[in-house]
Amino acid sequence: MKVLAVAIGGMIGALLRLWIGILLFNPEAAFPYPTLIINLMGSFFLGWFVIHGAKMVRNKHYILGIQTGIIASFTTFSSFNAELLLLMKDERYTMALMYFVISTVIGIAAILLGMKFGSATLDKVGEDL
Amino acid sequence: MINLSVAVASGGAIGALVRYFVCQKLNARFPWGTFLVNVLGSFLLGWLIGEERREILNSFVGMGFLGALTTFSTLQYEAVSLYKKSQRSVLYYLFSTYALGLLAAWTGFMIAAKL
Repeated sequence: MKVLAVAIGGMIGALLRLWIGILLFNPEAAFPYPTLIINLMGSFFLGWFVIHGAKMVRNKHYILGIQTGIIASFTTFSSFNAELLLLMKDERYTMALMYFVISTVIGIAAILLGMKFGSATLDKVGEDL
Repeated sequence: MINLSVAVASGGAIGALVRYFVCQKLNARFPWGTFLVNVLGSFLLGWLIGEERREILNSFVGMGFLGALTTFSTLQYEAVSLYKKSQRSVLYYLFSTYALGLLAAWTGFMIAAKL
């Protein structure tokens, strides 16, 4: 069951990354921002999920499928490095540095914000009950 | 579009499974499993890009398998979680993942270009 949850989650995460990537893709853009947006969105959502989402879902297999399957597969580290490499190969060093700094700094910020948002929505649910 | 989606989805399922098993084995006090899949996946994607093979292989292996094998969100979350235990290990974790990830991608790319 665990294996199935991770596999199905991985499919969904990879497909969402593909489709959102196609949706955001702009051949004229100088900056690989689809991956950046996907990674930051995924980080924010993971932050929210570990605090609040997992408590809503409860079922351990669903939690594994969403967290380890969907969210972790949605975001990607290999494309991030490949894009950095290609920017550097084109000698667009400033762009590469910007891409790196924005991803790393806002990546951590996205998790923390997601967790804060998670506690906020969790408190709200508590008040309603 | 359907072929592309099938290739990415099936690669994604395998990538997520491999990451899950590796992390289950190696992630204990320190997220060595995540570190390993991220660096290894970056190496392989660098290689794949250097090869410039056919598109379907890129979708299945590159976007699907390696895209799902490696993860950015888990890296960020683990860094935040490590901070509570040891602030120094956060720096080690992030610095080694970013530095070796890029170095690995570059090495893979160079190997493919020379072959």
